[in-house]
Amino acid sequence: MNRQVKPLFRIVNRLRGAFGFAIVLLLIMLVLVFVQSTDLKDSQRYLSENSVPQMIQAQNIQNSVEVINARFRELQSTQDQETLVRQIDDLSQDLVKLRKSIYTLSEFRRSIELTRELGDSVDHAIQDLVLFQQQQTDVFQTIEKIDENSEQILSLAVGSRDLIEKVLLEKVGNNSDFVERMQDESAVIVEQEIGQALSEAFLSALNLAELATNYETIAEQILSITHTDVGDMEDLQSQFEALGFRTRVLVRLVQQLDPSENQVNLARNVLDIRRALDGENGLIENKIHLAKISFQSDVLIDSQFQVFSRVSKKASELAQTSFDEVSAGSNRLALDFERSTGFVFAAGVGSLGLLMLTGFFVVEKQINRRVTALTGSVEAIAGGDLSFPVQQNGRDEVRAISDALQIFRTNAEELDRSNKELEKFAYIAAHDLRSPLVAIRDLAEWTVEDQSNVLSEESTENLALLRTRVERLNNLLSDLLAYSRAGFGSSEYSEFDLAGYLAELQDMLSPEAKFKLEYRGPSAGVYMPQLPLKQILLNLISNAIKHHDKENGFIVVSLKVDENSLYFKVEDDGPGIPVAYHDRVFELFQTLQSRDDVEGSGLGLAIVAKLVKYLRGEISLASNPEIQRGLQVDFTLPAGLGPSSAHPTT
Amino acid sequence: MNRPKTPTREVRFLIVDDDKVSIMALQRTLKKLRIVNQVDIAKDGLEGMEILQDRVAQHGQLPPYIVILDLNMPRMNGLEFLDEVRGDPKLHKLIIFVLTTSDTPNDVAAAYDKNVAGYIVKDNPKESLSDALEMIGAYSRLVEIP
Repeated sequence: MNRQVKPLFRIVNRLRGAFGFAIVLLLIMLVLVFVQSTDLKDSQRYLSENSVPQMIQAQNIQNSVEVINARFRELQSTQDQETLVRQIDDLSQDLVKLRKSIYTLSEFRRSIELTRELGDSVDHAIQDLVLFQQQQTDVFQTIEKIDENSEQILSLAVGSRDLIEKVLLEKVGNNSDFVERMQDESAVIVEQEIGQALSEAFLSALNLAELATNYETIAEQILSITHTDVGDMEDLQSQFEALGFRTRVLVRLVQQLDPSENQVNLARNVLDIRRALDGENGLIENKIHLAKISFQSDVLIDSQFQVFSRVSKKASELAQTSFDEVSAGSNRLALDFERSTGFVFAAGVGSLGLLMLTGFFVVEKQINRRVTALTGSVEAIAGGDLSFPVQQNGRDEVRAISDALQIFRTNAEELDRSNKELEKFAYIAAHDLRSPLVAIRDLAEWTVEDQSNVLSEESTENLALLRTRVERLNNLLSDLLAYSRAGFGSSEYSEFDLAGYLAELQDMLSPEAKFKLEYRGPSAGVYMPQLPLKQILLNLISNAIKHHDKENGFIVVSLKVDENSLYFKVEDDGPGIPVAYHDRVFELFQTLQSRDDVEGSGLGLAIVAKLVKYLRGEISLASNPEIQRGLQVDFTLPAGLGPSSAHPTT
Repeated sequence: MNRPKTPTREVRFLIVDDDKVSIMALQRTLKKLRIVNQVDIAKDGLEGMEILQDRVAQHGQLPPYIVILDLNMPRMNGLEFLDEVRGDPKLHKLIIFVLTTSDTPNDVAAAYDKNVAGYIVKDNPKESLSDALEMIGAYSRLVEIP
């Protein structure tokens, strides 16, 4: 017999260990991944909330700067005032937008220097643009004024013609006076007078002609000036000088004229022209002013243009920096992610490897194979194959079970052996004991038959007693055999026609129907252990008939079925069994009456009890002859698998 | 009921049983039933074989026999006897009734395995022996015995 091995190294603990380790590994992985993922999230958030918008903003700025640059270039070439105004407007809007973008960018607090420089440049540009706008307004106003000036002068010049005509007419008038005087014979005209008058007339005519010519020239020159591009300062200067010269000539000439109202008017005219030319807000002044302003604004635009080229470079730089940051950020993100993935992968592979190893070594080899072998052994042995081998290895629960199984098997083998011995014994009893008994009976009988004449009455009676005793012995032997065999037959459940069997019993045990056998219960479809049940019923009913104290009687067999059990009842109307003997009747060899009065081995009920117990049922008696006749035997058997469960009936 | 039979061959009985009293019972019953066929007695299978083989030697072939065979005997028991008989070409057609106390299903099956004509259990009531022999007597009269 194997000693039980203490399970030192329990399989469950091995599994727990392996799983625990895997769990720890996975937990570590989870923690690491969690930590990593916060990093990842931070990186990603930084990218999406900072670097990328920043880069986008920088690129927007860069684009805006390009646009603005282009506009500046356009400004340089535009002459048309309307277009210029619109362009300046657009440009200032763009600049303001740009300023806002830069401000938004500055909120990211990266590349602070660059951003500030950029911002300052743009502020500057905005201011300059305002200045430029003012300048341009000035320019246009000045141009208007210049136009006005020239118009004024031209009209004055035209006006002067009238005046010159008038002077001429005056002169002619004077001369006509003189001519009249000359025509007047009476008049004494001095040669001097004629000479004077002629030279006067000549001079006047000359002066006037010069005057007129000068006026025209002036007019031409003014027109020329008006349309001269202010760029060419030298040219303008010489023009101004020429114009000044002319006007001075004009003045001289006019002064040389005879004083008269018209001359005064003409003088005034010339003065007006001079004023319109030289004076405050005069053409020259305005023209010079225009030149200055134009120059200034050109310079402004130029410088602005250069500044903005630098701005453009700075914006590119900024965009590049932002882009670099985004790249760096996304690289970092990728690295973090790789690391994360690496952790997960490592932990996963580790756990997987561990679990596979566990699966193979512990589950497969240590548990499954052995348990399967053990199950095979248990099933085989339970099924009756006692020679089936039992694996005994290891130091764990499975080993403990194997050891127990081995003990169990040994017990079963012993049981089997003793059963076989019993059967052999029963066989021997059946044959070797019986034959002599039969012989004794027969010889006694024959003696009586053959020698009845010679035998005395006493001898005959002795021989008769001999025969009954032999008979008793024989019955005892049969019952003993039946008892020993009870439970070794088949206890298979099958559909049993109980009513039919009871009818057979009726014919066999009480063919003249002195005792009526009645059945109450389901007629078919109930699964019952046929063989043992037949024995039980036979014993109970023959007992009922044997012990009945009257010639006729009733025996009722009833059956109730439910899901779990078969409830049998055998009732008779015989004398019953006193309460005191209820326990004893089931014991071996117990009879209630002497064997001379009622032939019985005393084994009938013992056999019934043994069978019921073997079938895992329960049996009980109900009888109290002091109150009422009759005996009721109740026994319950477990229900079989099959339709019996479908027929719960009364 | 005795019917006149074709006079050529009369059936003989061979009783094979080791129990003297049992044999006596059989003989008495046969006498009571007025079955007057010749009866040979063997106390075990071996003797039974000897008797049969003698007869074969005497007559060249086996005359009609009905064997009443017990199972539990020394030297050669009933089942062994059956084996021998069924194995012998001159004897294998024998009509054999097993008449024994054993009611074990194994014995019954083994006997029928060797084609016995019938298996009768010696029950306690004496009537069964009488019924059995009466049946065998009728059998011997009605049935064509090889």
